[in-house]
Amino acid sequence: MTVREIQKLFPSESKEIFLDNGAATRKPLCVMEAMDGYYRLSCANVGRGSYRSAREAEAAVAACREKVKGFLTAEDGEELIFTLGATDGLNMLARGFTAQLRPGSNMVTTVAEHHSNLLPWMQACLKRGAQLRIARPIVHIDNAGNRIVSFSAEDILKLVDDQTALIAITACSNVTGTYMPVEAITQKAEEMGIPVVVDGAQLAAHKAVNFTALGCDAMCLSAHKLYGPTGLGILCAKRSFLDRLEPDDLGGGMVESLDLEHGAVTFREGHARFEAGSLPIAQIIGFSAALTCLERIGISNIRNAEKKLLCHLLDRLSAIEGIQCIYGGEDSAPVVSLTSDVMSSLDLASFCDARNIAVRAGKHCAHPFLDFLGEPATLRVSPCMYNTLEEIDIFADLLEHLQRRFRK
Amino acid sequence: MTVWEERLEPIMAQLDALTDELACFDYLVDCAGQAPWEFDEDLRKESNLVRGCDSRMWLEIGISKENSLLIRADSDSMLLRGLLMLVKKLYEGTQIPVSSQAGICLLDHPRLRDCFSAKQLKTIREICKRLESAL
Repeated sequence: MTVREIQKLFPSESKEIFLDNGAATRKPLCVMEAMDGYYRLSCANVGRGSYRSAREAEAAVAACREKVKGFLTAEDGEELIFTLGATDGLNMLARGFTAQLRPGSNMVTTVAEHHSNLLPWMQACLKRGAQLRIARPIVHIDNAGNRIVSFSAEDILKLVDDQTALIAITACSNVTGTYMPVEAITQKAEEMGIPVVVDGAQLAAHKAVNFTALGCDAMCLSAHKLYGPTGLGILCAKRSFLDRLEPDDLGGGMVESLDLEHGAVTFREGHARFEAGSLPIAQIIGFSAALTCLERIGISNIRNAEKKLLCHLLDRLSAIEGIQCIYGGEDSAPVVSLTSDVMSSLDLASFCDARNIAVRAGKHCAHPFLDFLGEPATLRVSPCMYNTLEEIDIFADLLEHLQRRFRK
Repeated sequence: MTVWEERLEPIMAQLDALTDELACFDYLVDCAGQAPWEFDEDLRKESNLVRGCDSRMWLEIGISKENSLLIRADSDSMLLRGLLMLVKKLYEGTQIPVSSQAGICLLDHPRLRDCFSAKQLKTIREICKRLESAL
């Protein structure tokens, strides 16, 4: 499938050149149609009624659950929980795991985490007097003077000892696109009996995910970064890990039996134990359509298209005087942070916006990582499969023009 | 006409004349380039950092021997520096109590609202309020 064919699936009315896909992707038409269809034709709650529309909605939700399991190559014994987003899933895990931390124990994470995979664990450690250990990356300078940021499994595992209760890492940095050595970490962690939680929010849109092969105990995703609607996330977890967690959100749909007199409650098993209240059904149906669309395009086509975009972006940016890129190497996800020697990243983003180019400036909800890099803020460019080389050129031309203008 | 109206009027007229966002950016870049900034490196300290904005912004408010308002401000954002220059033009040197309303009126100009995020404008509004309580 060509980029033009892919673009046809995303008929946006916006004229903006959208290069902030790390925050949220645009939605294909099929997602909007599927959600619209649900609201028009079978708008009912699930797990409550036995009438036709409720049955139809229930079947659609069950079908999506299977589709996501297929997308993540999850197996039997691995549960799929619908959340509000990756942040919600990670918070759910941290709250559920807090009781297992104790004074003297520790948790291992990295400095490159998005706040959503850092703050919940930081809070859990503080509550229980546990230590949060932070792994730092290796930074190389490439021939063009750009910074390549990578993590070694060895450096992360050096922080692990017999008091480590859990490892929480991102699979892919939202600042640099760096892929983490997740498999090497989970292998060692499994030998030591330490659970591993993975923030997969930036991973799944760019790379095929095999949850079972990754070997982690839980992984969280956001549908809106995966061409699906906002307000929906996925928490995929081994059932054995989920069984160790206490559900924190309580409400309808999760109860097997409730004895008010003795204050005893038995929760349902599996995903239902963690899905309190009504599900975001329209979003689930929309996400199902997004996954069908991704299957149709094919992950290898996506990877090829994005690799070309990343290489072209790096080539163009490296040739601009005074621009330094910070990225994860040529095999990383298509996410590049950059700094200018004459303009703040927020000014650059404002000038881009005035030219109808959407890029993100700031700390990217990763303050410790930006502090580690010694940058108050960066400009992040995150193209994806529907962007074109011409769009990259328009952005790079503007950057070149601004650098020339303000370096005088 | 109050002193604030007198100071505000020419700035508002210049903003009115700007045709679009890019023209406004150019105007702010020009304002940012109006020297001298008189912002020493040692003023870029943590205690002078204005919180609440993604860009870094430093502010020190002083009173001169003549009892007039001294504003030392800077930002790592050229565009915000330009905006701070407008605020300086509006308020610096005054010996009478500052009216934050004048600054708020300036920041409400549609051209500036197009150029800055709500968060950035809120931070500058806070600066105007701090100036109000300085004299």
